[in-house]
Amino acid sequence: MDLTINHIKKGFKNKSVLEDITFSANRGECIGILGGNGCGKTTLLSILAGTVSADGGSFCWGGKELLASKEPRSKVVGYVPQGTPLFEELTAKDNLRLWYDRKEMLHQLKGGVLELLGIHEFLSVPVSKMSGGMKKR
Amino acid sequence: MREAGRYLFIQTKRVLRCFPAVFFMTLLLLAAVGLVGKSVIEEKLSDDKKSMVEIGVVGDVSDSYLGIGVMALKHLDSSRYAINIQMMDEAEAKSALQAGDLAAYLVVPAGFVDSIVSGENLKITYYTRNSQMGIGTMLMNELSVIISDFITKSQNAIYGMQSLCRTYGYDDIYWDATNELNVRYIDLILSRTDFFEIEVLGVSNQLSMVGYYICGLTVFFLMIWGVNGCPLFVRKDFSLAKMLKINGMGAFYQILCEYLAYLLLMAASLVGIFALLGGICGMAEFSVPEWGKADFETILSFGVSMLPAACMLTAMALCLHELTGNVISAMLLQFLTAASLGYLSGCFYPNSFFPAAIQKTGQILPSGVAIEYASQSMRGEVSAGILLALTGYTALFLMAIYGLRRRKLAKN
Repeated sequence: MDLTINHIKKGFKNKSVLEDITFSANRGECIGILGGNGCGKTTLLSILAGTVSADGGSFCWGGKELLASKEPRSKVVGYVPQGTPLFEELTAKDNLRLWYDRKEMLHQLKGGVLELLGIHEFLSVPVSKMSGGMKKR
Repeated sequence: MREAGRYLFIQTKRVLRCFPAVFFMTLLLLAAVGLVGKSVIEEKLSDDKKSMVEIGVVGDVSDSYLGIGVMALKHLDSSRYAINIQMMDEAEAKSALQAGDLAAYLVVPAGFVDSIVSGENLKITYYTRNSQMGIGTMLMNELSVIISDFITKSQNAIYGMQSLCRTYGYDDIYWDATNELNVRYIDLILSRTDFFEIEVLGVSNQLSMVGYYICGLTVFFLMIWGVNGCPLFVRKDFSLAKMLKINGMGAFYQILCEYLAYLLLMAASLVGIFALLGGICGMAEFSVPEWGKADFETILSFGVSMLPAACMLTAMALCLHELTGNVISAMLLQFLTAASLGYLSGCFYPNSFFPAAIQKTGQILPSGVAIEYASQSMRGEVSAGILLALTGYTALFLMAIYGLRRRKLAKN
């Protein structure tokens, strides 16, 4: 198994939110996490993304334990948040500069993921004037 | 660190893009604070003018010498706390004293001058209110004693000489001369500048009234300026902060970059505003006792010297923004905080007007520390202690923001 999650648990103020979460997946598989309101879906994803620490358990990818590692999780985990992590006053290009060096951005715009998403079509548009779909891209 | 550099670059770009709108808003705030300052200073100056002491005189002062004495009291005084003499009857004087229109009144008994000539010693009675026994009234008491003493003793001497001249048949020859002697004597005696001198030591913090209010209102302006940052730094959606954390930029670097960008915006606004003020005051030939003529360079350098206080107040503003998740609430919080702190620390009234407990509290608040720094800067004697206090408060606010941000990131 490429992805292994074992016995993850998390509590806030003496209230247990996640208890003994265990699952695994292979490369290329797609897993959906379903649950009622407040059941801990976002908490679990935040733990896997690295923004929240777990009280116990392990998260392994490619045989490497990630929960205890201090390396930025972004190297192995892609995270799409619920909100819109963009600055409304700036253009798409300026917002991308937050995540890419100039050289890297130009590379991605020509044949990379940014071209695939069609971002080059609205690079100079201020975020405040974009549609919801454009913002999500 | 690369991520932090990129984040700082983007935040700086944001604030610079918003600078024209922020500067316009700053001008509006300055106009509002300026109007408040103008009315406060004008009220204080008007109070100073009211310090002219109104004295009533009751009785017949038509005798040449007493009349000259009263006229001398009225016109020869050049001290700041001038005495204004009003002739009136006793009922009117009593009523005016009770209404507070007079500080005191003197009753000159009938035949006062004749009594001096004949060797009697009728007294001039001085009436005042108990509540008026402040330093001004005490001075007036002393002045009345001195003047009545001088008038009676000098006139005793001069009348004595006239009586002697009459006895020996020289009154026709020396009458005009002795009259002139009397007038010159009264004239010299009653040159009030020889009696006392009044020096105004300043309102508070060893500054003049104008100097004090420049410091107080500058600090108030810097506090209220924080509303400009609300649309930029108040957020409800923390997804960007979470993304930054995933990419290795935790709460510490996020706050550091936001603070530096915000500080750049504050510093640019501060310098811009004081440059503008310097130009206007230079043309208007505005003067401040501590500076003399307040020209462009003086005002601009004062504005630049306020940067350490601006560092602390920027951190305070950012801390208030972090507490709220809504722009309107953040702006209201900023206004309320600025008004409350400003009032307690003496931005609108000198701190010395308040009871001792409030004075001490006001002095240790961030606004009080900022006012003290501004006062020291204006006097040109900034102490290491005040810089330490500013640094301490700045660090305290930044640590508070760090704690809040970490909690928000952990709470999703």
